[in-house]
Amino acid sequence: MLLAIERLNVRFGGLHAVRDFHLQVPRGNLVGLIGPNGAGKTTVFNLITGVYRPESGDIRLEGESLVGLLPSQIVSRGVARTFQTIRLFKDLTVLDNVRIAHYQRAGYSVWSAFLRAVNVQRRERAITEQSMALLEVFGLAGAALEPARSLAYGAQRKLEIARALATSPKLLLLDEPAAGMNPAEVVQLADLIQDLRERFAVTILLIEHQMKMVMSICERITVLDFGQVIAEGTPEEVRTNPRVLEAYLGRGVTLA
Amino acid sequence: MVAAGFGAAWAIPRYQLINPYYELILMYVGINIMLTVSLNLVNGYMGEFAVGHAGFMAVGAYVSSILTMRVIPWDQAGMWFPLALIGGGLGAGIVALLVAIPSFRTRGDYLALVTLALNMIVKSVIENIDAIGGPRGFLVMLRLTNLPWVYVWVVATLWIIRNFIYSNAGRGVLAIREDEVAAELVGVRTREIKIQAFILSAFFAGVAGGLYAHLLQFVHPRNFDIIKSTEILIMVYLGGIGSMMGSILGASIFTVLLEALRFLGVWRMALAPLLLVLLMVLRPTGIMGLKEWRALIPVDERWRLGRLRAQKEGAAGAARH
Repeated sequence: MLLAIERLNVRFGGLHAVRDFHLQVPRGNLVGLIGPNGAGKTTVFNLITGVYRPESGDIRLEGESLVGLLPSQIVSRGVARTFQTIRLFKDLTVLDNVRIAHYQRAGYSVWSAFLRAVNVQRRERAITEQSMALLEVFGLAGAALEPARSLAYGAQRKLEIARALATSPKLLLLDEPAAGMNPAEVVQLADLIQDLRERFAVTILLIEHQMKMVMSICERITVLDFGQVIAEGTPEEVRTNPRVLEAYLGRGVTLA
Repeated sequence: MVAAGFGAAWAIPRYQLINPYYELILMYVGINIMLTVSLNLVNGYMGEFAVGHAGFMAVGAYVSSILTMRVIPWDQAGMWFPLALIGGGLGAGIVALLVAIPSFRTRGDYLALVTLALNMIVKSVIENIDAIGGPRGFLVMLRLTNLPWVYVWVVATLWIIRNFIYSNAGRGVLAIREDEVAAELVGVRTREIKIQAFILSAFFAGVAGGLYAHLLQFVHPRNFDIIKSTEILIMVYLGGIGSMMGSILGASIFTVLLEALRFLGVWRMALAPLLLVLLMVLRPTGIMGLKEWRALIPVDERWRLGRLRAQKEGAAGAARH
């Protein structure tokens, strides 16, 4: 099991945002995390990545607990993420957005950086080449020297994924990558996600509202409502689960 | 070009090529460039707001002066002068570390308050230590600062800060300015980077303070008050945040202007705030505004980016044919 979450709880004031949450993500899988708005999906991501600290419960990556670590330490353990609302370094170039994410693997000290020693120059060249190769995969290499803010919306979403992959994660958390995309772009994105998963041998946990996409690409799905897991299983099991239908649409309706 | 500059810096005092008064102003310009570039690292590149740079300058001025006056034998002071300056820089760096540890737990205005307080504390601590003259000031008998030394230190400051900015750590600094949470979540150890940048900034302010003390030959707590800190802030924002060329321009223009307007007497002091207001209204990004002069970018990086640009243009050209 790559990621194992047990009995996770967090409260914000009176709101019990995540209640006894549990999740198992096997290595190599693509797991969906769905639920109505405000169900606590992004909060789960924030707990995994160390932005919030859980009140109780445990989050283990390859058997080692992530609870209490700084976000940057969790990145070095192999977890990367994107954001629901795009959080690129907007005034920096597309290339620098990806180069920054090599931070943990720069391989030289700040002292050699002061002198711009030969090893610094060599590593910088390697980092730039790796970043360009990554941008190539996303079709963004041509815009490498443009500021990130100048990219179209869909391209910005892609850049966020590229930046996350630049940390060479074992587990990639995607927070609504299809938000704001048109249907054609969503189809492309679904292909891209499946492609990335093989190319980078990365396990993916996906939050998404685009049901069609989630149902078609995920192996397993966990459904969250009011901070609690209300269903889990294969897309087929989840699709027909009455509690899921109720959470999404109210009683007595069937999901396409 | 750097060597030619040194040649000039060496020849000017040696052969008295220019009026000693202009030579003095050149040295002030150099010292102010060091102060401005170092503050720009924290305020411009990193996007924090530190306002007490003169405090670090004071620590450097007094530590290096004590070293040359009390520790190092008189006849050898000239030889050990660079080490005394580094000592002053390290003193400022240690103070910066003490300030940084609590201040960088939270973000935003907190650092402004802490650095403001630090500036005042440093000043009143000096005023209350009688052994270094207290409020009467401290006489530095040796005029060890000269134009070649100022030049060497300006180049060293620019070179080291530039190398830092165009390294892994420097990208971390820029990421913190852009979005600190996102920076941490792509693996940047933000706290560590903030402390590193802050210490580096204070170090060069300390060295600049040492040069200033051994030029003036008399240091006084009032030399390092909030007004001095404000002047450094103005030079940073006049030249433009996040640009070393901007800081060089900002420091040069402001220093020369302040001297040129000496005939205005006390009214001269109204210039600085007025300039700041005009700047905010007319050109909030300063003269350079995040742009950099190509020559200040490390050669290997400049070459790499140039090749990427050429590749792209080549591809665009090929697509047209």
